[in-house]
Amino acid sequence: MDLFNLSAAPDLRKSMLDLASTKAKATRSSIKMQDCTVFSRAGFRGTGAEAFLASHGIAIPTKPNESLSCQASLVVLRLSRSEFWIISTDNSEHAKIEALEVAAMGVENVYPLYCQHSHACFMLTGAETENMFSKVCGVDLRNNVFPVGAVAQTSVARTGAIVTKQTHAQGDYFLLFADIASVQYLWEALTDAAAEFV
Amino acid sequence: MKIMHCPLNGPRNISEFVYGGEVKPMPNPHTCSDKEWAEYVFYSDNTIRIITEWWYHAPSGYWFIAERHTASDEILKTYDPSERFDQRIEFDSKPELTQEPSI
Repeated sequence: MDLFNLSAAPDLRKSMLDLASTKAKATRSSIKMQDCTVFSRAGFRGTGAEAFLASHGIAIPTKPNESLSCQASLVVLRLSRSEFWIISTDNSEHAKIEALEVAAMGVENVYPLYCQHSHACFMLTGAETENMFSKVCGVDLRNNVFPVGAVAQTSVARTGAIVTKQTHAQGDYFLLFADIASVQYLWEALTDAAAEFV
Repeated sequence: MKIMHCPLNGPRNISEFVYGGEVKPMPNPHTCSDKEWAEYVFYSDNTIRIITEWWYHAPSGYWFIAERHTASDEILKTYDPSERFDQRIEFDSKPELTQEPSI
């Protein structure tokens, strides 16, 4: 049997997040959160993953726990020496991500990761975002110690999470990935934490 | 909050870590006795000393090794398992065929 392609049928993905209950709070805050859970992403792990991605023109962060913007809306996270996630931040790079996943099938020492379906993804923007994180995260995510390109794998609002800071034409932003089963709780917790920053 | 130093992620709250048991040499599962295997899996010495243990950083899914004093609970050293294990351990799950007695 052929391997199931995890990037298949992106138009059928549906976020289970209920945004209506937090809308009033979210509108007042200067910190803007966007649910990017259904946007395409792919993960690869294994000793051959770095060479595989490089051979497909993906820029690779040099050290674990670093990220970089490969193209305008493509972010590459290096979560360990041999684990990489590629994220389309505006869902415009689906074709490229799917092509990578198909190309990885059968490549020795490259294993696909189920990060599309296992994790929720939020994008947070606003100058006060780092101060909001101070309330819910033990790691210092302020700009002087957590610059663009940094990755923290830690606990946010008591949920295991991956946080990275990146930049695009509209300014700096944070991407947050957390277990998809906790998505509603985490969205509400972060909206609540952000509410004081008007 | 107690802080543990993760070799991959740096200093983190101890609540992000999960204990994974003592690091000890694995007996050959095909040749050891049930008692030896049970001792390897279930038993540990409970003496006062510096112990080498597996620990897991849950948010990043990362296993590493820590050296800890069992009385003071002080974590003396943490490092990547590649310092001890340089090759993948394969488990040969093929059952050993027993010879059918011939009639």
